[in-house]
Amino acid sequence: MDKYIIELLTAFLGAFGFALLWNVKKQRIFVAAVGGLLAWGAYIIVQMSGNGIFSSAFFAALITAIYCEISARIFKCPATVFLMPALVPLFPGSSLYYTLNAAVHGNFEEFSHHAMTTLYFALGLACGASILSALLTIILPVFNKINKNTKNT
Amino acid sequence: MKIDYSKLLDIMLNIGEEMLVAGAEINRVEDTLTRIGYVYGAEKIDVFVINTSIMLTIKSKDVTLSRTRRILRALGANFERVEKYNALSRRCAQEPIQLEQLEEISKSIAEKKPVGWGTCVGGALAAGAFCLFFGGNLLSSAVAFVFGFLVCILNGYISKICPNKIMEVFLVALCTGLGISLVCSFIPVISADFIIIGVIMLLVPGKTITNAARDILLGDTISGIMKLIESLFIAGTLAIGFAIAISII
Repeated sequence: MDKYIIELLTAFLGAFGFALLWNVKKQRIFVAAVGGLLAWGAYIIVQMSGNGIFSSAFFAALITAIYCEISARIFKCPATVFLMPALVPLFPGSSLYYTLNAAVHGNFEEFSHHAMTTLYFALGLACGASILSALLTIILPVFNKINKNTKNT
Repeated sequence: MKIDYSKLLDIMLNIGEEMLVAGAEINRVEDTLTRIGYVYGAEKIDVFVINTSIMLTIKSKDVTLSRTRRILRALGANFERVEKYNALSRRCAQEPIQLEQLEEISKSIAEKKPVGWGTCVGGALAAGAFCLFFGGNLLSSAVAFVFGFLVCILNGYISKICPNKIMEVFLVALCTGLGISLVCSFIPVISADFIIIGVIMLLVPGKTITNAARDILLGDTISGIMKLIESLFIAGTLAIGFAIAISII
């Protein structure tokens, strides 16, 4: 349990750091950092319920994206501003390191295992984070049109 | 209101370039430029944006103008700027402002540079936090904090002299890898593993790969594939840089 608390806390701090690094506006940094905490919390829960690497990363990123789109509507600014720092805890930095470590030690089996993990993780993360905004660009115009039509009549 | 379309095109290209370099998605840049163009009375706007260039054609009642802009700067991240340009274009759409004023505002947004030490502290904080996150202890996290700060400074210097992102990442990875291995060979209590992981998190192209997927899903296939390949290469070079450093010491 302690492990999870430390992970969540540092995920928050890490997202906070990245928000500073990427020059997110002062008023939005906290929201982005909470997104980082949420992203890792979602990942822990999804992974515990027995999903693979790809789907864990996918659903964690999707949940983060939902949070960020909602915040973007509230604060009236692009969702990327929140999304990028919030996704940082899901970046496969450690498995990339284990990949190169295995390569340095000439351990081919471990190398290919970690390389595939990195790749799956990165793909899951990217798909999960972007599928929502892709869907929204289709849905929102239709929704707006219906809204307008009902107002006119 | 008589509009100088040549000047408008220049301003639009500046806005587009700044947004792209600040890390906006292709779709958002195209949207913003189109929106601004229609506000100033264009009949038709054609925008084509990829990572390395912008093409823009405006057709109005009496003139049709076309211009391209080659983008040589690497795509970074400055989300305050993205947000401000986005707000500017929305403000324009509600009540068109004078062209001179638009130019002035867009210039003032581009000239506002982020605080150097602020971003470096951010990087340091992130490196320290992710060192703990992946299982390091407090001591190694403190070392990662210092190296995170150094990486950000180093990144700033190397990006000025380096021709492309891949070489930049390679040099940064090599230098920090050597530095961390040296420090760890002097102080055997701390393990290099988690410090390197913390620092790697700063350099991992996770943002690029996410943007790539989004561009592809939104139909900007060329830009998406360029970003995807670039991020794979960056991840590879990053690994090679650190691997060389680790095997030397």
